[in-house]
Amino acid sequence: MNVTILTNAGSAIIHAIFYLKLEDIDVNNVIVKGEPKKYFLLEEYAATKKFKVDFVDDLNSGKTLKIINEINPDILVLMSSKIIKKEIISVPKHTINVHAGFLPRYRGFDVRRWAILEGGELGATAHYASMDADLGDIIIRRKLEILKGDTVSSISERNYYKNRFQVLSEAIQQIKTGTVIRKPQKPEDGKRFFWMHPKLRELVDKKLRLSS
Amino acid sequence: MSEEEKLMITIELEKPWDKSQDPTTIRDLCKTSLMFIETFKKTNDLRFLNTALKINDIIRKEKKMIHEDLFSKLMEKEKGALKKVEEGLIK
Repeated sequence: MNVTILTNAGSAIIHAIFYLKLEDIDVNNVIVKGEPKKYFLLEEYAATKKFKVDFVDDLNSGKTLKIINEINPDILVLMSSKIIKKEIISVPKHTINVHAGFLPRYRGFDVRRWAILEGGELGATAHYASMDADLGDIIIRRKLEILKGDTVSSISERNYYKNRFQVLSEAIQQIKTGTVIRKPQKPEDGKRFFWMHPKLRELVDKKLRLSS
Repeated sequence: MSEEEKLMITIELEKPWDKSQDPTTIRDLCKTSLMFIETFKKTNDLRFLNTALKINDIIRKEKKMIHEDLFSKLMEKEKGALKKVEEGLIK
């Protein structure tokens, strides 16, 4: 089964591939937005682990579509902050996105901070890609607890390196074994969030300090 | 989805803070920001205050384009709204 990752986070993707490998999941292709010279480490890692890397100027470009059509992946994993156009996400049978928030409540950007400020649930969600921001069917999600002494940075790192990779790995395993139970989302079950203003970010930091 | 929420999302997607604005737009944005702060006070939906804060950053830069009283009113409303959020953190 071919697993392809489409991303604008070139170097960070090494961690994802490393984690998936630990879980016996091979990534076959990676398509990265950017120039090869910026990602020599990824190229070296690709040569060692025997996966192919393609570079594109724009994740939504015709070149990306052509590469995806050539690869014809079984699973396309989106690891990008950009909404990817329908022609691309509809090529594979399974196009999934890993969201750094607990869906359906927290869609969009800066969702960790929003969850902290609202006293809501933190976590990560693997879901089917859709043209609406983070509104595709949920595959799996995991909560993240706030620990004593946590900062936004420590929460983000824990969510990124544990929860996000874990839900990604579990979602791929479920697809491979045909055990996915898609849970549709309703827009009214959540809210779409945008980048948080620095004045509210300060209050998020203050809230974490107060709760320590 | 309410009309206010639709407007808030439209503004967030259009990002007026990334572009230069003419005086008429600044005055309209000023009214919109006041409306969003009121919506936040009524609904406790912090997203409205968030967008208002982003709009107010433009207005601070272009304060000569609006009447002094309107600017003062907006700043007072912003201060009050942020105080409300801060008080809520302690509860």
